[in-house]
Amino acid sequence: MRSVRWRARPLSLLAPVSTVVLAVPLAAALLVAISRTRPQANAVVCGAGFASVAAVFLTIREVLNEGTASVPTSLLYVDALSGLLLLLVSLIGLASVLYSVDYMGRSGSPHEAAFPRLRAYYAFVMLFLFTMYLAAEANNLGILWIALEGTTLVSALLVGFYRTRRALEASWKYLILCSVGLSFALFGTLVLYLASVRTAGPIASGLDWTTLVAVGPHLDPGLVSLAVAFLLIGYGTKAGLAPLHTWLPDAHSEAPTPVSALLSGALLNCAMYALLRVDAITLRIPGFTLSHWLFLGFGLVSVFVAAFFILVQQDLKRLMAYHSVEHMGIISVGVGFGGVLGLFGALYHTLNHAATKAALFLAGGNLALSAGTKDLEEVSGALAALPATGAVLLVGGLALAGVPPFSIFSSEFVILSAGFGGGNFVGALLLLVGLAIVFGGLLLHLSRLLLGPQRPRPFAPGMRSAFGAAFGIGLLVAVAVGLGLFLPDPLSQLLWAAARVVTA
Amino acid sequence: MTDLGTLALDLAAAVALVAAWLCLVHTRIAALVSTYAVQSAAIAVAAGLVAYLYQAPDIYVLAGMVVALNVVVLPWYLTTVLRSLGVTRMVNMYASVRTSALAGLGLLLLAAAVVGPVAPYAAVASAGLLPISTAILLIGFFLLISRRKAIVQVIGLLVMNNGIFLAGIALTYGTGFVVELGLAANLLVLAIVARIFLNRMKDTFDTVDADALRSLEG
Repeated sequence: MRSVRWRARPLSLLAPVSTVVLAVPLAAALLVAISRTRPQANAVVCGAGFASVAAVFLTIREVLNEGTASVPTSLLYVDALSGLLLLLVSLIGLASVLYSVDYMGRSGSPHEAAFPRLRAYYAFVMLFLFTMYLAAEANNLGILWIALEGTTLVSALLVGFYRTRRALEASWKYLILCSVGLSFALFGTLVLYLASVRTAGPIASGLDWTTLVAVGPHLDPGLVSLAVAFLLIGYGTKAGLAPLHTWLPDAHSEAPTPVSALLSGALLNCAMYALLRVDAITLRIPGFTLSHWLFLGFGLVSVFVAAFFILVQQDLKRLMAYHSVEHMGIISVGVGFGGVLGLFGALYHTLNHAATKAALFLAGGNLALSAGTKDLEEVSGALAALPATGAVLLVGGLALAGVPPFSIFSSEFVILSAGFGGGNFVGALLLLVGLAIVFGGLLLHLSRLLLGPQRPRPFAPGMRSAFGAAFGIGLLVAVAVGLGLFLPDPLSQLLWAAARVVTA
Repeated sequence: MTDLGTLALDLAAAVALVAAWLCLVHTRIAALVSTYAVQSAAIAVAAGLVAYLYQAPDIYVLAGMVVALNVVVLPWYLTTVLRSLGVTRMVNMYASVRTSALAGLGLLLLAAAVVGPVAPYAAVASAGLLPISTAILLIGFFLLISRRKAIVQVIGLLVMNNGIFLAGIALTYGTGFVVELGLAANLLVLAIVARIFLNRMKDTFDTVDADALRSLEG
């Protein structure tokens, strides 16, 4: 332990490493904007991807050692919960960037973007990552809101990157719906501030999460109920919880593939993170159960709505998008079950779902590229035609369905145990029914897609030789599969600490 | 605080509320924009009053920001967008003028019923401000979901934000410069991003009815 601290110190003399996490993508956005050639731009974003992961690892080590990471201003705050989100965003970010290089940045790729457009694309991806890191490190709930609205504005441009009719429609819907949702969330934030001012007086730090948690037991339940209703509707829209999810399948399916992976694996979790911060405050109020019921209700509705659309789905990327709705629902149910075990399950599931889903989106992008269509009716027998991509889809699909020994099975098991153990029999049973329906639907799609007879029209070679894409997907698959077999000790510490941040 | 001050504050908030309701009645988009500017001005006045009555210098900054952004920059910006898009009237609304006007009154009652009971607890300048700002928020939301023109959806969003500004002022304490500047910057970027999409929409669909955006379902 001591040697660990010793090595961390020289870096923190310059600036807290948590600040480096924020600075890297910003600097990369600037650098890429002034880059002159394709290789330069590619090098900048890949370097930023790896540097971010390194900085995040150092930050997490500091959090595990000290409880929190040092920050330059009280507007920021980094604890285990922040650390977990940072980890997710940086890993998915790295995989997406590496994939982007092959998908758009390589000359000869079918999605090759002209250089000025590529540069804009990279710059926006870096800004998108910056806003997500900022959300993870914000202490002031106003800054958290600004960061999340920032993600909407930047990623709306990324969703509409291909200027097709469908992409335009998806990005407009995304921009308007999420901005409306976030307006409600801002109103809720103000009401929460009002509750804080009533309790703690008009202090400058009244909107800080640390203050709100500290004065939590004395907050007025009436005002907090009003705030929580607005906050859950607002951030719930952004997290893709049904019935507020309608933007999600459109945006996920029309965005460039690496952006779909970022939206599903990283962005949804940023909104869920904001909800967890709110939940942590309300859990301090004795006898306050409104948020428990809201999480449970939104979560179960999401699982069932998603199950229905999964059964009837005909588009590969929309299929995966509805699975995101389902899994955000499962996470929300876990939070609703509550207790340290419920929260642990929810956070563990967040990690597993993010890695699995991002890998699936990237591999699915390969498949769509080779098959020339996203229509599930027209693609079959992919495993024989594209062994590597097909294998990732098979493993990822089985993992997504909750088959053991993959990681999603483990976390779903934890969530269900928390439900039954905590006495939420009806909720846990309903969740089981929903999961069974989704399981059937997904296996049906998978078997036709991967194992069915090969379709008459041949598959194009796809991105077989792309090393970066393979590395990115491999990284995510390793996480998705590996975490089911073995949870490394530091990660397990981080997850438990993050769960206790919410419940303690 | 003087009774006269509270009266003036309530009056300014009432003007903002009536302006929100008028947005539901107008069918000319230019009139919608000027109504929005009037509403913003009323909110700036309310902010100035709160700052003066409560000696809260933070709120002066907020008032100045509202004047600069919501009264001057955004209406001017919306007018240039309207000109470049060549739209003037709202035809084909999802809800008629009469329905919208009634819905506006209904939303006011809803806000009063839901928020009214908690408002007296609040450390606000006047008990009426919180229900009124909630009503403006909801009316802006209704404007957004009941109109087909994409630009009107943006105006609905801006009206919602005015409701939020009023709620922020009603707290009588600023939320800190960083936060307020961030909010303003977000509003500005939103307006710019929306314009980018509106221009693309015009080029691609030759219309700025959000109705044209109906191919993605299921």
